[in-house]
Amino acid sequence: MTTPTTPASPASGSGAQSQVMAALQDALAAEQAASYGYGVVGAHLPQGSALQTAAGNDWVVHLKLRDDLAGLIKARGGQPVPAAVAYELPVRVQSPAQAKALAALLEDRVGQAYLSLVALPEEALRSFAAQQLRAAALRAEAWRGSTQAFPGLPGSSVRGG
Amino acid sequence: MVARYAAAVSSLDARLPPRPTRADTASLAAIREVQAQHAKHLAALKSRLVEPSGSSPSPSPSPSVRVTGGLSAVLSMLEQAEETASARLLSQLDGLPGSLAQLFASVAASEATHVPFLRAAEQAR
Repeated sequence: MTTPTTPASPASGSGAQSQVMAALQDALAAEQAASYGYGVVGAHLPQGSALQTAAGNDWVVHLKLRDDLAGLIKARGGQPVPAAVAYELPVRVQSPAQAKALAALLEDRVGQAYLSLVALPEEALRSFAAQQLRAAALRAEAWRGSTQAFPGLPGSSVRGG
Repeated sequence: MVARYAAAVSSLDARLPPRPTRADTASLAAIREVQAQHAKHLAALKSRLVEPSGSSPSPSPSPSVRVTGGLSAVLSMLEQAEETASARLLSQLDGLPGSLAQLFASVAASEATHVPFLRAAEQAR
């Protein structure tokens, strides 16, 4: 994975920079929530199973991205939002099937956060966010076993023909 | 991609035995599911892209897509096409308006997910 390290363009205005900072903070918050959520996912998958290993691997990915985003925010003079002590889960998890559904939802939410970054004009950030949206969609597909036509986009915002 | 999938479905439909296996039917269903998503992609992209003035109102002819081989070969061809299409969209993000960049990125992500989805259909055979 490539994390953008280039500072903001000098031509960027403060309004644009605050938009970038807000989108980065949203992505960080989504990664923090995913990092928490994967702990719940892993706890409800069969001990020692391939699924639990996969959840562990995905958890590590989110921890790394959380740290990368915090670094990006600091490099731009911001203060990373702190993680919550606990998060309200979008689904109740009491079984492996529900754990897989939660993992897919966590990836959907992470993808939505990265898509907000894609909208910003800074090329390095846009490319980074698009790659992360793709990665989140792939992980969601693995957990869900099905694909979505428009990962990251709310369904109502895309109407064909 | 829409034309490619239409050609694939047409070719496979014509070659299915009178009593296809459950795995063959499932693979074809997976291909149709992805085909439907590509139709949505095309519709969304058309709705965002402005056609140049004076362009013909009639649809341009679809590119000729030649599909050969059995189901496994077709699935492999589609997987390769998905990877190529996804990478191409991701390489075109620079300079796009924000909302169009989001659509390109989302479609690219969707296309990337089609690869493991089709691969799973192939492996289930």
